[in-house]
Amino acid sequence: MIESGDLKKGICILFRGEPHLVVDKTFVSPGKGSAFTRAKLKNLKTGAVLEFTFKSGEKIEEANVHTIEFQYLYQQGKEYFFMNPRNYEQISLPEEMIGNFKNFLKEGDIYKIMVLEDQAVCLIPPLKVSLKVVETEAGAKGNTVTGATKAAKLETGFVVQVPLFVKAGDTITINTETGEYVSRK
Amino acid sequence: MRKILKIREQIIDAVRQFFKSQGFIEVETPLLVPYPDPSPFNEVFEVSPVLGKRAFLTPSPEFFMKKLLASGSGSIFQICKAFRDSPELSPLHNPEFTILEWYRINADYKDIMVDCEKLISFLSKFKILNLKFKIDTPWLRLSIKESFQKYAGVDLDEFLDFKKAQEICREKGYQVSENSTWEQLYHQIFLNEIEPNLPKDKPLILYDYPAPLAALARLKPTDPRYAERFEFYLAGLEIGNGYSELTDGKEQEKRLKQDVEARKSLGMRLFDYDKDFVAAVKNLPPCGGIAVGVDRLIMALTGAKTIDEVLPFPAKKIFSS
Repeated sequence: MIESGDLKKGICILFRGEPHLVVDKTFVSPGKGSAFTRAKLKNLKTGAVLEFTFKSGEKIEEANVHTIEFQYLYQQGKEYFFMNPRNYEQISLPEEMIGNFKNFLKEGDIYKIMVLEDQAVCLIPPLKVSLKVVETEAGAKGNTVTGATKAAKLETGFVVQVPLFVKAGDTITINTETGEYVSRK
Repeated sequence: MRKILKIREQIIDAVRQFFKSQGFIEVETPLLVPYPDPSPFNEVFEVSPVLGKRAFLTPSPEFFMKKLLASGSGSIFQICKAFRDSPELSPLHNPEFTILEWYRINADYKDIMVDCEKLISFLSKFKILNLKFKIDTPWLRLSIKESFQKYAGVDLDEFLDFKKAQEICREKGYQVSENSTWEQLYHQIFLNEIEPNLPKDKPLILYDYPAPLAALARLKPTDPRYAERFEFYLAGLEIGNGYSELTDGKEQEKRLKQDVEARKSLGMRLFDYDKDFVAAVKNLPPCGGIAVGVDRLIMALTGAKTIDEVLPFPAKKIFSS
């Protein structure tokens, strides 16, 4: 059992008897009123999304989900295939479950997947990933002050804006929520 | 960035022009005080003592503005910072924000509603803004009772009874525990069933709040179960909260004492209430007043989705690690 104040993005709860993923949550407070938590919930069985505002201190039951590590294998059409390295069990996730993170999936890397009753629910994307730059123009030397950027193609095919000093072959860290360059390794 | 600085300047300037043209005086009252408003709905920031007394930042300039009104200032307005401490930040709140309060003597909340309509009409003339809603007057006015009936199918007169309120909430599938207060049950219905369905394409006034939510408003002489309090919404955002001001010193003191007790049971900061304020309320001329969140007003007029977009230095930025 958790309390409404403990709700956060990515956890699974039972809402009106059905398992729901907390997609987003904000704090709301009506004028001259106490604190409430508004959560955006996705029904894991039907995919329906709804919003609900909880009073503070409401008791909420967590859904019985497990987080399992899977290795990313490959993509075929709109399905992404993963393997559990412990038992070689394979599963596939549709593109909607991966969302924007599809731009950062690297073959062979390990990712956390949320599973409910033997069904994959969603991928839990790491906030940051390190990927290699495979293609980018040579930047003007010494130009580190102005904050100018150029396009760089990552090993996953995704193109990101980077500072001019980044070269092809460099490994950089990307914020997966914003798709932005963070730093160079 | 420069654009938001320009917009803030123009709007605040225009607000000043508007009230001066109405014959109001602009005032400045203390933001550092010994006895802030004890309302349990706004936690206050405490700072180092002043002259040996505990000191706090005001969540609203109301108390001191009423002291001015009681001493014969006439109609007044103020644009200043207000401070409210909260455990978590929401996209619509900043712990330090700009507040506009005005008090019109020999007036009631209906006159303040008209002030709001005139003020927004005046502000909407600026081309720099990005209005996503029409501002024809008169604005839609809905009583809280009507809104509960229309959007939640609840008879608010019935809901005023605590046991009935618990029953209604349980029937609707909300969790009702022995700790749930009447205010929580009321707002849970309001936030889930009413507020999301209020029209967002035009301004809206919600008025006549249940007595437990009267705050500093006087109760309706014709029906003391309700108070002469209103809120106005622009683009779905609650912008202002106005009243026919309470001028009964005894009633005011009673509410302040209740607020202090509520603070005790909620484990909030404890401090004495302002006795000079109680004395001022006894001498208040009949007046209507209102507090407006200026940053929220700017959000509504520019189409901004979060308060950070209209602040040059949001708390989330300057206080982040």
